[in-house]
Amino acid sequence: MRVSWGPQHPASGHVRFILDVDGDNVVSLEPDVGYTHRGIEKLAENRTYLQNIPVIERVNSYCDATNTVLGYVQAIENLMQRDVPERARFIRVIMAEMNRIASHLYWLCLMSISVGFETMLMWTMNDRELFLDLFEMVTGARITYSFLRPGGVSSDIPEGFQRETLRTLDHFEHRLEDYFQMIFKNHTFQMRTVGVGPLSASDAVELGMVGPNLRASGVVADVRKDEPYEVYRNFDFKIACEDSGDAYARSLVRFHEMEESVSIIRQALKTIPIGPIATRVPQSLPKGEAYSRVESARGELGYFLVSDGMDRPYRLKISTPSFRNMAALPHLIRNVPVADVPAIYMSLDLIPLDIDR
Amino acid sequence: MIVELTEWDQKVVDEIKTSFPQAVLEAKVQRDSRIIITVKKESILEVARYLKDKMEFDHPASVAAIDYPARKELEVIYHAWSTSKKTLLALKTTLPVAEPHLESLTSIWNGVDFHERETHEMLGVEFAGHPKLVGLLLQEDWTGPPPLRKDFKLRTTFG
Repeated sequence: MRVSWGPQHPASGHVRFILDVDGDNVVSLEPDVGYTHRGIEKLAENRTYLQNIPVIERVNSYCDATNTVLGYVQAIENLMQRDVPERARFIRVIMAEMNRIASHLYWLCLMSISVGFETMLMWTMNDRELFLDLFEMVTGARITYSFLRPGGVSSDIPEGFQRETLRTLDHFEHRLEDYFQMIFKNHTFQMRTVGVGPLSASDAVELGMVGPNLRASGVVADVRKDEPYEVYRNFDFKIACEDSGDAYARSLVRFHEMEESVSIIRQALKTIPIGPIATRVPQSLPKGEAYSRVESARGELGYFLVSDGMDRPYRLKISTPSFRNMAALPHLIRNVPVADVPAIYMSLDLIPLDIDR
Repeated sequence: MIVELTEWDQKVVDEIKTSFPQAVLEAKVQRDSRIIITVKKESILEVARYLKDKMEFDHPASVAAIDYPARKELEVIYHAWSTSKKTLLALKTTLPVAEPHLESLTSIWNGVDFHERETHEMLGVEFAGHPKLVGLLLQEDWTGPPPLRKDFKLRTTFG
């Protein structure tokens, strides 16, 4: 029998899955995406590089705005061959890592609801607010900041930001311990996720998986280490990796990434230099092409930018992590019980906005 | 920006030039760990297979196409990353707009399935041998031209 899951289902998001079911067994799944397609690649060709920043941010606005724009401004900087001041690079890293934590908290909320554990919804959303407060302190906005600029950032971090951030991080580290006891040691959560949706390392690479989903299968790949951008070279951090490749491993990788992000923010706050926060950049780019990669919360995000020498992109291709991770869904959801479908889907951390662009 | 060419990047370029002297139109290292290889459209499948099997470009990253109305050509670009050698490859080819047919690379990189479907829908490239070449993101009853072609104009302009 064919069953549609979504787009109005509370757990699915704006996406539809066509499930072929045989009793309680899901034989196959086919994603039907595009409900939030906004044509951002086309819109980008019609706006100047600066006007594009708020548009591009909407690729994945409510989870990971900083990393999304970071890839775009890096593509521009690659083409311009222009260096960014050191202090701006530190601010970018701090914002990007805070965004990674906020995004992983958002994911943990959705993941725990999908396995029927609603206490974590309250906890994670509550703690995410603290990070949104910090974003508001720096940028004036909580979700969509439009904070990065080609050549730097739009404003410096305010007085008292370091103190507030350290206070939040101290609190958050205690909360992480609570999370670990509360959900990762939880017998029910383990029963719902251990051994569910296992993905082998070779399949993960073949399918083009990225980010925590790839690392959970035992592939050590992180753009922050492979091609250190901004100032990630300065910091001492580990790549969180697991071997089993199941839903539990994917969850655990994200949990350990939050710990690493806390450590990176602490190191960055300690060593941030004094100096300018932006350089002047021209409005038009030279002819050429650039492919920039950043490690966003969901994994590698690629921008392929082609310039014909004008003040707007000739073509901007956005290769988003959710779009790439979606390839695993039909592969993983094959002869699994219906109840495992939400657990597998949520453990991949797919965001329909990110898939559709 | 550090431009430090690794030996491996240069080795890939040299080897692909000597292995496919007829098929490869251009092969160069753009900058550190960015390789660009331009091939004739007839031989994209065999070059891609060689790159995956012998050169370890195992991780498909993106498929893009660009419309050049002045040349009446479409350029199709496959990006693939090498997880072992940490290098990004751009495999390019050009197609005439009048006849935008290209062999699908799904048999080589499983992960380009959805990317090729999107490129088909947005720029009208016909991938031969793709298991299911139907629309992905646009509405089901879309009848207009491929929207990312340059002759598809938006109703409003900005700036």
